[in-house]
Amino acid sequence: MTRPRRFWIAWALIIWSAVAILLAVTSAPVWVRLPVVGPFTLLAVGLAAVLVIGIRQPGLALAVAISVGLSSLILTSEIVLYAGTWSPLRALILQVVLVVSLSAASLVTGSRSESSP
Amino acid sequence: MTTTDVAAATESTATRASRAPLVAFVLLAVSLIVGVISLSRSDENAIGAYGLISALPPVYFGCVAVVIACLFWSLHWSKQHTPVLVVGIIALVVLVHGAATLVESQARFFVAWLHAGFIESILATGHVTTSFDARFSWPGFFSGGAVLTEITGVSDPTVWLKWAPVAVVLCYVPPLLAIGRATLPGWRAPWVGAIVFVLADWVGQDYFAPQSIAYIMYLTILAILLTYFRKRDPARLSALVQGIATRLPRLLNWPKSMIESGNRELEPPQTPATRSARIGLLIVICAITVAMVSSHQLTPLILILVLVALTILGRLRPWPIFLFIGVAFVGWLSYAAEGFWSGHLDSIFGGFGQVGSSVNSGVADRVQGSPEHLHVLSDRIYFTLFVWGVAGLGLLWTWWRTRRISVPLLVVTIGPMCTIVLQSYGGEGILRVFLFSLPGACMLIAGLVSSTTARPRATILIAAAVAVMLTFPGFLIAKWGNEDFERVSTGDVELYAHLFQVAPVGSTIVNIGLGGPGGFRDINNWLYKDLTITWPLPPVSTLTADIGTNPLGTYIVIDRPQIASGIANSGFPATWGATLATDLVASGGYQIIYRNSAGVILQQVAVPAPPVTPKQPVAPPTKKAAAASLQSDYRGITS
Repeated sequence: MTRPRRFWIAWALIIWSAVAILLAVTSAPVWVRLPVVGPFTLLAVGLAAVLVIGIRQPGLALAVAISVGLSSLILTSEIVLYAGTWSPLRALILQVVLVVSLSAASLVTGSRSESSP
Repeated sequence: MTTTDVAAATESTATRASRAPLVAFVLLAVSLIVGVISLSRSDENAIGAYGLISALPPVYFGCVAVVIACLFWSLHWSKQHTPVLVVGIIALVVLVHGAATLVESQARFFVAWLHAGFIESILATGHVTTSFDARFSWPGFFSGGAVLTEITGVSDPTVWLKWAPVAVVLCYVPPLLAIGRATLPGWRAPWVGAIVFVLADWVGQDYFAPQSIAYIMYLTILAILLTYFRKRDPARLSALVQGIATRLPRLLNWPKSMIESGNRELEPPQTPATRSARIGLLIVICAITVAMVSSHQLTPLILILVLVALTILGRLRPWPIFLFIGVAFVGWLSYAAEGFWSGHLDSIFGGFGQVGSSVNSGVADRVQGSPEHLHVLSDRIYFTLFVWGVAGLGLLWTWWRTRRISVPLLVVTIGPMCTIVLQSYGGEGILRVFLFSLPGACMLIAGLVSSTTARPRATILIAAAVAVMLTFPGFLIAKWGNEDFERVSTGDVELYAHLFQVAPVGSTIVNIGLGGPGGFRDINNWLYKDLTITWPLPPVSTLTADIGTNPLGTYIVIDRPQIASGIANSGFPATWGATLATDLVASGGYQIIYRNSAGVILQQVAVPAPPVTPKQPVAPPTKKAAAASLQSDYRGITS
């Protein structure tokens, strides 16, 4: 993946995270939340993981994005469930933390590989 | 022919070739639109004893044929045209796996509705009631669904049910293509494998359920491992096989070349990756594994079997990966699912090694019911054997053409069959074996069309397309043959919605068999009991002896899916539902409180209360008691 593309995708994911959490916190109407927050919870962590790892094969990248996205939804929801602090918003916050961390990591690793000989 | 003529002919061919993707794209789009319109205008009440096929309009078959033809046509082009192939696969999935969604007014399959009830239960209480159902010991899917429902602002989890099968099958395609790309030569074979998969996956485990999500994860883990961690040249195994082969008579030498080869010509080279990328991929596999073991009980076991086989055959580099999955599986079973197995380990491991019993419970015990239902079941058995048979032919054909076989594909196909040795899985073991062997089998079938990187002849592609079209009606009967009792109508939903309104919290709801969408509201609110029906009907007092009385009320629902299920699965007469309702009312113990086009709700007539005697407060159930109650729920996990 070229550096500019990685850069823009990482920032797009970070902005998507901010918008998703904003919509969830403000209890925006369902017709706004469904198309923005729904795909975020299902795909964003997976896309960030693909970005960090740098999978180039489109089919495999999509498969990893879907599976990691679903896994992150399941794992974050189980964390809040078994911790006895059930709150879908907390699960979303965990996902946002994951997406922002992975996106930031991809920006850092991208710039390192760029600057390395 | 002059030079000008040759130039003109070349230009004409090039123009035709450049226009071909556009033509295919238009044909695919038109077929999809016409097919969707024709399906949505079909009458769901035309669904009969052979299932959905009787309600499908002729134009639908034409649309599917055009989509199949376009897909195989695009495989004859010299270069891969991804947009056409992607649109073609999407059109095929929507038309084939979305057919019931488009024809029927409500989401199909009562178990999917029950899963929506599980999600609502988590939303209402914030915890899982493991004593209610064994599935709650693996709650990952349900807790994830609860977060998705709440966070998107959707008021009702049932909205996810209708299009779940289409979304799930679409999610199967990318990892399938990756598996094909890692194990087969050229770009065509993976696409053929994916097309065959879409047209052979009749098992119907792609509804709104934990196993469908776990299956996506299973395919993805295999795709990652086969792409980045596959070994092409298993030196140790090679030496071992060579050593054995030299001691064998000449006639038995053939396994040597088959297994030890390294498959250099057949398998594409392993995709290179940096060390950090490999570590990242292993972390991804671990994360997916943990999510999988907490969502579904069978999928990790099959994955372990396949990975152990790949490791033994020297085809997997990070061999401890199956150990990690095994530890995660045992860890979850020991900790979170303790309530499930505690006290009745026999129900889990009692079937170990009883292959005959597993096959009987999966095949022989299921072949019963009305004559039409027997035809559907026979079609399923023959279709399954046909797919496995053609996969075997594909294997032999590839071997004959290249003198090589793909060992990973063979393992992915045969490995899942070992689960039959472990468990009958409530009689569904054979179905799961077919489902999990399907990715490998479809890729082996692809070898019949494209066993090398060379462009296959047009006649082969035409023959393949025609063969796929000819088997399509058989697939439709296998896939949608139970639709008469697995579909849910608006009347059924209204019936249960009324029941949940009138039945007080804590009252008893009695199921009389498989069918209706009962349980789609918070399942903690009511007590559920099953009423076993036999024909001819016994006296009402005998029939309802186990129901007992509940001071808060007892309700029996008799609806269309349950009646259709009794007719198909048990061979009851068409009037059995009406007869049961009449008998219950005539006994004086029940009265009809609601009736619509789909069925009736009966309420137990209040009996005079016995003299009140002071009672000790009821203690909450102990862990052992909860575990004992799960014994009866064991069949529940098989859904």
